[in-house]
Amino acid sequence: MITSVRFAGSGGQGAVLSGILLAQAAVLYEDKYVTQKDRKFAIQLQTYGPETRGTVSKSDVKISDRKITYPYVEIPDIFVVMSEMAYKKYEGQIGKETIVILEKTLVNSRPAVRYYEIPARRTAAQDIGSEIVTNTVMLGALCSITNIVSKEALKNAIRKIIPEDKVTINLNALEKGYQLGQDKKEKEKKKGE
Amino acid sequence: MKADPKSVLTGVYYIDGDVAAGWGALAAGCKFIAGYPITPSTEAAEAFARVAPKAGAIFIQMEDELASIAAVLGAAWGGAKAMTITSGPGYSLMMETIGYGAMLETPFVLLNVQRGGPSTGVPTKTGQADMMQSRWGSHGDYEIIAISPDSPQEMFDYTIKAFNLAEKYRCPVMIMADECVGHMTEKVVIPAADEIEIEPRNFYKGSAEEYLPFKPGSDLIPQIAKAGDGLNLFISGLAHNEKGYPVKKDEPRGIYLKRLIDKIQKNKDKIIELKEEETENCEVVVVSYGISSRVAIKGIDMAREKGIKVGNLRLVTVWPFPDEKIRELANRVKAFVVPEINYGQIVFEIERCCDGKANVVLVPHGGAGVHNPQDICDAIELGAQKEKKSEGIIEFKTRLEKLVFEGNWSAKE
Repeated sequence: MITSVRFAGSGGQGAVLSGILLAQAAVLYEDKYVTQKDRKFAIQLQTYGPETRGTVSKSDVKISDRKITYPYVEIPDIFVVMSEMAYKKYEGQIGKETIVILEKTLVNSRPAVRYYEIPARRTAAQDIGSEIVTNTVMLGALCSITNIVSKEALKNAIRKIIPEDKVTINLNALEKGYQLGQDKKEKEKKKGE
Repeated sequence: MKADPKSVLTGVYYIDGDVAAGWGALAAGCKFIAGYPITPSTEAAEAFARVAPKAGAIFIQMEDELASIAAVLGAAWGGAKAMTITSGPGYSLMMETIGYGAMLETPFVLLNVQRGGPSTGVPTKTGQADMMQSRWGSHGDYEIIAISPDSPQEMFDYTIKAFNLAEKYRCPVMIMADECVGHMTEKVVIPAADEIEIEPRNFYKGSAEEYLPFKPGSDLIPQIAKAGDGLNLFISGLAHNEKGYPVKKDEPRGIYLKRLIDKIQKNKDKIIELKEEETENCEVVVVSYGISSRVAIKGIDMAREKGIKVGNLRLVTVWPFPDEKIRELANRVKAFVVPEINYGQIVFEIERCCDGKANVVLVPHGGAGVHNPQDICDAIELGAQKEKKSEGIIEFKTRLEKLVFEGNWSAKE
């Protein structure tokens, strides 16, 4: 089975980094998918303009237990979005089955499909002390909401590619995001009952 | 010969195609890269530069592309395996010296991570429009080898292969990647050094008195000398004889050229690598290379669901062109469908080899993106509907083209 995830936000918010962390976690650290000698397959593609900051940047990840031939994502299964501009740009590619995980204050619009609003920026600023890890909070929420990879695998990916002095705040941000996601899911469950 | 363990970063990685090519060069024994970094190939230069010192290799950032490729030729004649990395306008600037390299039978590798053109074009996005330039870009008549990888893993594997081919056939070898493959991140498995086969340079081993720098062996390829190792070496871009001296009035001047062509053309069977799938009993064959070959798979799957018998032929080696394979297929299929990110380059080679026996449908793309798989599926359907005779290249409009040229496009879409 192939699962596709799209991260989108403003340039500098870390959409590309989140994509790389997720794919890296799946490929290198995800033990639940060890079937043969290979772990999961994942592919990550990014789009950005010639500018470094301010415009929309996007990162698509496909994760599969088999080799991926076609690498592109048209309608993502999961859409993680961190800015209104990015939301507007990719709004048309939200499918009926797409799960949208959005930053509560940075995205004003709300989709007609199933969505989760995560106060990631506030959490990052108040609980971690730096807005820069907003994307990692979102990643944590994605992890608990969808279980696409394990939290442990993501932690290992963070340890591998994040510069040493930023590892701790990112691990904390992941943990906070994971909690936020779990809370949202539990609320949803209760509503359902 | 096996690879040097110091140069091989054995392990499982999650890296992009550019980085994989940089590491592949190192594993292949490349000791020298000169370049003028340019989007979207920069990461390859950076990746190589970062790990090169530990393996005793050098990366030099030159003042421009002209100097970069000249330095590569110099390094090759100094005995090193050498490569340059470029894209877009940088590739155009290198053209003259590529011909010089071919004339002097210099083994070197050039990685072109193709972007949208012409001119500055779309620097951060993809294109496949340098394919003919890779074959004919320098003046005069010559042969090169061009490979088109489709994944980061292949960027690693085929960079090694490119070096091996360059050494074996003493000619420029181009890795014609594209931005998609270069910037796509995927799992790359780098094997142990003793699992990587390396072609060593075929240095001259005879006596100094008998040495002739351009005297070919039975395989049409001369043994090479290293500048400074004591042999009488004269190399020049002028038409030269076996001694390397400019041909004189009483010598047949054009005859040296035949061997430059033949050493590639007569070894085609050994050079060409193709990937073929379900071509035995098909009506239509999709021929593609680079990133388009991965997009084509989706289009092919869609067409197969509609019950059309579609074969898939992927050109791993684009130059020399696999004439015989296309001719053989043209005898039994109705049509070839050729998706490429340009307005027709390799499609003309296919039409030539079809020789009026089958139709050819080009699925064009102006660059800065890849095909919509639905377009490839539609083109396959179009090809399957046709009679088995040739109407040449059949016009096919993609969905985007229809939208734009029929005036229904707005900036929002």
